[in-house]
Amino acid sequence: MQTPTALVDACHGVPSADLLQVVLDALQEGILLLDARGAIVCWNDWMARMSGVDCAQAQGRTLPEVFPTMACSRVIEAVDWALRRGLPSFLSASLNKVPFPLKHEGAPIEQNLYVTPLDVPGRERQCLIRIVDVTSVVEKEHILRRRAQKMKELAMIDPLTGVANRRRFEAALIEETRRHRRRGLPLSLLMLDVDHFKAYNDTYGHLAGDECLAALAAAIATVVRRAGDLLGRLGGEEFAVLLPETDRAGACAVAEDILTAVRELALPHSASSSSDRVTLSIGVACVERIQSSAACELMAVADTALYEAKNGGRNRYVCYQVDSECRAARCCAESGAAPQAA
Amino acid sequence: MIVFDEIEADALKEVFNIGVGYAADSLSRMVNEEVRLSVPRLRLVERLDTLDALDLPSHSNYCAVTQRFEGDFNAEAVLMFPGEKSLELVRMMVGETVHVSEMNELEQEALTEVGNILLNSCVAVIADMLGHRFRCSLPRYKAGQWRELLPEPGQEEQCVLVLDIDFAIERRDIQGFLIFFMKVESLDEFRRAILSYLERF
Repeated sequence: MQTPTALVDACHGVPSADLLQVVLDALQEGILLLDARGAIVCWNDWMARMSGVDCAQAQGRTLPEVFPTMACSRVIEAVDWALRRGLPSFLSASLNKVPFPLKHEGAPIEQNLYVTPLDVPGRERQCLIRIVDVTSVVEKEHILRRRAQKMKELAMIDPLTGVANRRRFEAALIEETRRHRRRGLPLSLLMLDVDHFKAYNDTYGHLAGDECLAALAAAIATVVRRAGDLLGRLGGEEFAVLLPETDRAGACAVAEDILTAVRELALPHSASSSSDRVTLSIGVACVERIQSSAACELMAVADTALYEAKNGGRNRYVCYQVDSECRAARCCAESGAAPQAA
Repeated sequence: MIVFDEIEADALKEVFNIGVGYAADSLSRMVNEEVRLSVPRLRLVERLDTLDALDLPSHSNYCAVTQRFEGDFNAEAVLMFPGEKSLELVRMMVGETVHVSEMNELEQEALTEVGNILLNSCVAVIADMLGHRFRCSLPRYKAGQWRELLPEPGQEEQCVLVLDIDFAIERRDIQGFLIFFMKVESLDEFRRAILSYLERF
């Protein structure tokens, strides 16, 4: 700390250089002064501590000479604007990652920089750089961002099974339908319904019913793994699978794999008239290319197919193909026992 | 009163185009992505209150970056982009894809920096033209209705230069305005200074 003499000078109305240095060193931000050719005139204590380079070592050298990584950087460009054109610059932390190599307790410091020209009478223009530590602001924003993202995701997920909820699924269906119209690649939709689910709840209780749904969702998810495919729970015991860029053969293969995966789960269901275990019925709807401008309800077609699967004995899938005029025609089915060709 | 004829206005516009070109290079280097800036149109009005005649689109919300100048000539420069477009611009510069609808503090600062780079390049053009010395303030961020973002109309003869700004990044085009409010001793002198500068090109 400085001696009282420095302060006494100040009392006469003119702050001494010592006093000003004391003030600069007390600041919790970086202050640097560069001369007309960009050489460091001085910098304060904060700068010395955070850079590991004290003022005496830095004096007379340019910034790239002290910090080689700073050559041709945005900072040097800003210093140039200040010295040559007398224009100030602001460098934000989000666009400039750690412009000065500064660390606090081992961690890099995120910085906002203020580069301003200094016109001192009788001297060539100099450049003042002020560095503000904004690490905590940046961290806080990242946390808030992640939290907002998480909340958004939660609003799109079914809490019981962890798969997409109805809102997310319907939004995805709309988007995929639009994309299908534009690009002409086939689109398929599966509607899945757990067979005799009410009876399951009545027999084993609602808690077991919930666990059953969660287990089914997990099993289906092992089949629906391709990026772009989406599994959603529409409500109750109803699920749906969206398969973009998938034709009839592909969709039926997925339906078959899902039925197999569920059968292999072997969840006992004593109250089911279709099987000794929990099974699904699946309605498959596929469209090659929609030409007409009429809104084509892929979900309604899949629903019709599902209804047929139920009526046909459950534990199976039924597939409908939609032609370019949005007319649906049944194309194939698979029974619980053995697969049949269409 | 017409201060510049069409040919002069065109030549003036080209000078600014060169100026913002440097800003575009700077921005491109910062994000490692091609940023293109241009001034598709330049208009000059005598007084602040004639700005209404320019029919600036009245979006509900604008984001702005401003810098003040003092010295041999006094001026204020305001760069404005419509609110949602500002958000797009900043998000593309920063590279974030989170869809939260408000601009946070860090994004405001990023926009301030982008504005500062653009403003500095245009101010340098004007300084070259008028050959004056001046001091310039650090950039400030403001948001609101566009009328709220403009300085108070003054008594002296004013010169209001309105540049349409086209900001292109990643196949997106964002339109904004850069408005210079200058207090000039006389519009004639201002015109003469600029014309003699243009002759050098």
